[in-house]
Amino acid sequence: MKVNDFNICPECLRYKTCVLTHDKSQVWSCSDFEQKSNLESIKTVDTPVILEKVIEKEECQPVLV
Amino acid sequence: MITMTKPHANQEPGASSKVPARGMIDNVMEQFNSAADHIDLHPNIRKILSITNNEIVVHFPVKMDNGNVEIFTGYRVQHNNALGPYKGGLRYHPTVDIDAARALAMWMTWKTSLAGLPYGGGKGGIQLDPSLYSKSELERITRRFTFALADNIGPEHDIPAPDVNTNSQTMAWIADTYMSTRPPAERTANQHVVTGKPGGSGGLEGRDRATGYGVYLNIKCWMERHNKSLKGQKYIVQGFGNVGYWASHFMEQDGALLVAVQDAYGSIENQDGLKVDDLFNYSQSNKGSIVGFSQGKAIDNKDFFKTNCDICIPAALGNQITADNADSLKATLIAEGANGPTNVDGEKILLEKNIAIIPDILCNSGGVVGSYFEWLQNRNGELWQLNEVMAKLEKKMMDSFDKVFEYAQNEGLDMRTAAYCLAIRRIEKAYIERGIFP
Repeated sequence: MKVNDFNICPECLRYKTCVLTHDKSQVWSCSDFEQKSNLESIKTVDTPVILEKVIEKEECQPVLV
Repeated sequence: MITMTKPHANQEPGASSKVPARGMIDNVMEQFNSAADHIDLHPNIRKILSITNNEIVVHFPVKMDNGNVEIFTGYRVQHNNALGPYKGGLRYHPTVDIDAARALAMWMTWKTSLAGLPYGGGKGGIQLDPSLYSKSELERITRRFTFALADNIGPEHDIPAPDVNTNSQTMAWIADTYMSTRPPAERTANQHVVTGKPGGSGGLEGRDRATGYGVYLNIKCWMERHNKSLKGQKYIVQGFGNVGYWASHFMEQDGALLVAVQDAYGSIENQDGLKVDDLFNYSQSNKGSIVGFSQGKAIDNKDFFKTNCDICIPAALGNQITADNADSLKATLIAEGANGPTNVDGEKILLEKNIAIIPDILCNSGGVVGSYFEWLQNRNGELWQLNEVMAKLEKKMMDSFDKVFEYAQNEGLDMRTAAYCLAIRRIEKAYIERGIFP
């Protein structure tokens, strides 16, 4: 039976500071695992996209009289 | 069966491009083979158990909030159902794939068998990073995945549960979607297609404390078998999440003293005892961290497992007790609340030092027993009260402990090997009685 490496640490919010283990390459379950938050991903990945969308929307707004 | 890395075709003999550290998955497979050898498992049954029954891969489209469509890949591995429907978690994670799910599904087979449940083993999930999706997108992904799995899951066939990045909300979506695909008159009779649901949607009272309570019961049983009381026993806990907290809570109620705790942020110690609920309340108000708790002093993280104590409860993650630190442990009993906290090399040292280990497959099985109760509750159209749940859990856990302890004593084995032997023998018995079709 073929089995690949599986590891949850890199997506954990505490990845950089966690003191539970130095070997962050083989962890498949952990009581302290917390997925990086939406907020963080929006900051790092999605912000430019969101800003562009906002600008597009504003440009497309009909002028109400 | 054990293959973690394949050598490259042009690789010289003996050379290795990648030598992964031994993981929990290796340990589980080694334990299976060792136990199979010990009970002289029939070669035909070994063949069956060494391979998964079914592996389902589904690709499904989901409309995103911005109107675009993304294609997702979901998996469900069904290892064995000789004892009953497949049972196991669904995880949402970028590294989920069919290979990762295989070993975890196999581990569920042993766990449900040892717990004496009418279940087999399964595991699955979706390959995605949940942090990149909104809640409504995750809902649509979950619902469409459920639809794509169709009759590959079912209350009498394969019963998923929460795992990494999935929770009671995810299970509620799955249950609702699955029930919606049934004929109207059958819908409510399918609520037990998943366990781990919210309380108002068929979830079990006390499911949150089931694993921790099971850890405590195992320790209590072990103490009783050694004519000891929990009163005054010092214990340390790694991980103060759901399992660590509830295990500590029940230990304290029996008079044991929590003397050290480690979480992702640091380690604290007080040989006079740390008040469990005070620590829990503190961590809740301190962004989930135990660091800075006034009743304890900070200790070096490297020294945590060297802390003076009678009982050690590793309840966080795997590979914590290894050849590097096993020799310095002070505890006389290790109760594995986490999955795979002691690796093979660490275990050898502990056993040589006559330190007992209550193995994970037994020690943290309170969770899956709780899931079984939820399933039964839904299936029978009942609503169980907390005291009923705890009483039933106690009976089931103590029964499992007694069987493992006695088998280990009679056969002169450590408790882990005994647990695997019992789990595999139960499945072997089912195959021998039933035979192989046709």
